[in-house]
Amino acid sequence: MAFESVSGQKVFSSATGLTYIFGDYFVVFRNDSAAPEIYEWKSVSSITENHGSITISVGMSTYHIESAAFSSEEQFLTVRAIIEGQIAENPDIRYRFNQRILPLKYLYRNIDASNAYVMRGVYEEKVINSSNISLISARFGRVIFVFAILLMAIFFMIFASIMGNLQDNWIWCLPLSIFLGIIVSVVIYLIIGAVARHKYSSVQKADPATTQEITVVVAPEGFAAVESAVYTAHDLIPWNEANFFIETHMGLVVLRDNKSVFWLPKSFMPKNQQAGIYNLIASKVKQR
Amino acid sequence: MKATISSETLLVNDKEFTIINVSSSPGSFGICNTTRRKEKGLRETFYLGNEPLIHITQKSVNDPYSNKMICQVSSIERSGDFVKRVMAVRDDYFSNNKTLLGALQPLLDYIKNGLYVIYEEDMIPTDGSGNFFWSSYLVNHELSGSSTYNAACPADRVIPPAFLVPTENIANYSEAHIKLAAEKVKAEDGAYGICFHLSGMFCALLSNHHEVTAALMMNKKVRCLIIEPVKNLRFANDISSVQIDREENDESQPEEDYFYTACARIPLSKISQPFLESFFLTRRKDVSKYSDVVTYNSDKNTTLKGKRGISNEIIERCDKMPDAEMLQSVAMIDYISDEELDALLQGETMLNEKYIINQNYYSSITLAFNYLLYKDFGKFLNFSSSILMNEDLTAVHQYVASRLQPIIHKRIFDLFNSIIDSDNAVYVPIMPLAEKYITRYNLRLENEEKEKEKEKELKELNDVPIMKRNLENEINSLELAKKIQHAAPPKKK
Repeated sequence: MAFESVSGQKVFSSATGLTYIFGDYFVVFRNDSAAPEIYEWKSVSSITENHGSITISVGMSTYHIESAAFSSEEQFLTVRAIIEGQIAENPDIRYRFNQRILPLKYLYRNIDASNAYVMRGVYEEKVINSSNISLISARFGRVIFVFAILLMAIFFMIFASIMGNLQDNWIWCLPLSIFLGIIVSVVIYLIIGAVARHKYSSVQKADPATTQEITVVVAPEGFAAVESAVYTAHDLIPWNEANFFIETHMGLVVLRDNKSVFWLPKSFMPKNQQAGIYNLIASKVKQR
Repeated sequence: MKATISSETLLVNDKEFTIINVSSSPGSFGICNTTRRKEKGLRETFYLGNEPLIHITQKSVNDPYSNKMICQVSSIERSGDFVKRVMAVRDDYFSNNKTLLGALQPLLDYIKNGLYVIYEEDMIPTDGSGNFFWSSYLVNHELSGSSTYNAACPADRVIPPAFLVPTENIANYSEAHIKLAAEKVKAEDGAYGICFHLSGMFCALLSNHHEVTAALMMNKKVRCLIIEPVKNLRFANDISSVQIDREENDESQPEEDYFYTACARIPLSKISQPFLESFFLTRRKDVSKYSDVVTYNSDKNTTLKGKRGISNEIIERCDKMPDAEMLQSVAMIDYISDEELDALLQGETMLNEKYIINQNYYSSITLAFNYLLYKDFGKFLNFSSSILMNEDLTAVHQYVASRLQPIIHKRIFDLFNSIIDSDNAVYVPIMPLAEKYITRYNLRLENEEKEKEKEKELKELNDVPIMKRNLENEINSLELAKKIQHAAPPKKK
């Protein structure tokens, strides 16, 4: 089970007067005298994470832990890591969560890294945006190119049908079609880029990890990108969870099913280690 | 950084226990999980600083009822001044009458964070199978009574720890040191030590190995102060598959959740909220800088070197000590009447609508067998011969015959002789055991006769009349010598 060595957390909710403990068990203390309610994680039916608050349903009870109950963002992230570690062990728990910048913790396995590159830093917005646009180029570049050619042909045919006589008018119909095709394709590209930027800003609002220091690990056994507050050095995602990586001028993005698994900005990598890190990643996943 | 320590005293089943809560400790002493690959089993390691001392391996990952393997891999002397600290604790607690917390402070300052229960217990210096404790753990092997839980044990019973695992190197074993320790044992009327609970009935002895050995040779008690980490929470409604049948009629089923420790089952209601919070906040796989190094060091193939020959007297004494099965039976059974024994032999598990021992017939037979072996040897002989003579109980014949092997007694000899003489096919599986016993018995008898003869010869030698130095005799002999000197030589023919 991953993240089983992350230290247990005590959360007091002033709204309900309940004390919650997240660890090997989920425990609820009602007050000093009553016996605690102790739940094994396998008995939890659903967990919902919503903008810093967590709702846990177990048996007939539902516990809502408001975001204000967590003493810090680090504590919230630690609780989230414990929960996702338990979900890996108990996949029957229904889990609803907000968008994330980092890979979900239940993808991790309990693996000790050997000869690992460990890097730390905060994800900068411009790096992520640049990576996202590169990602879009990689994903939709060919499609947009084909689409542009098609548009040019369509415009040409439209002009031809309007003008009637192509022999006299093709000299200005053709450049106009090419120009319009390019313009429409660029507009579509810009819209997709704007959507990508908006996507990141919505993640930024939902996931406190975007403002946290991130630890990125690249090792022969796997990789990790976790908030430094919950980094244990014992949990990695095996390389078989990733499909390929792309390189941008800002860094590397490792992808799985066309979705980013983690970003590795160049600013994280010491210059003398860059070649080693590139070679290690390239030996594990294909470059696109 | 010093640890924060607080304590509570509890009364469970009229017995007093001290519970200690340790937090903010450097965690340089305790048990950590050093499992590398789960398919090879779960491995826990008792460590001091960076040094792994004892490995405890559970082969069946999901079965807390299975016995474990225990192996000593290093020696406590490699862990700096720890030995001195343990000796100071031992002296302060047992000799200087310091308070428990005051005496234990030098150890608790370094112990891993979490809850601990502290209590005293009389220990047996064997491995639970009649082997001397100091030399028995050099090779990794499975030990009876080492499981986390005991499937046959009723919910209101506990099987207290009884067996010792050494932390000192066997190379340090010395007859001269034992002689010195014997004086201390004699003066204190026993040996006293500090132990750390490992698993089931097994504890690591942290000090006084020579004193414990001397106490064994002098037949004195070995009293130890045990520090046991509170690790196992059990739910009132958590009935294991092994226990389902028994629990239907089990009046001892607990009514509330409890901590399962080797000394007691502690209901959660007896423990204050801060202590409970501390328990739930401490995770099973608590990683620290020490546990990382210990895990790394545990993977190195290290074994203790320097074996020493143990005296025959120690081996013979250990052979006579109660083993794990006997102590488990005694912990589970208070008393068993002749009527109940007869009912068991007739194939019953119930008498007067109550289970004699438990619902499992063969488990009941073996428990009763071991209980009698510990409590009443006469009844034990009758019971074992009744089992062996009963053709319906062939399933336990092998077990009984093998358990009888180390006991040299005329009645068992006669019993095995009658088995060999009988042509009954049910005895075929135990025939080799019977023959082995007869050979051993005859050999033992021969050796005893030889020893008797030797003793007789020695006695005869001692009985030769010694000429008393008598003045009168000496004068007479002198006169006789003079006469011989002055006497005329015999004439030559």
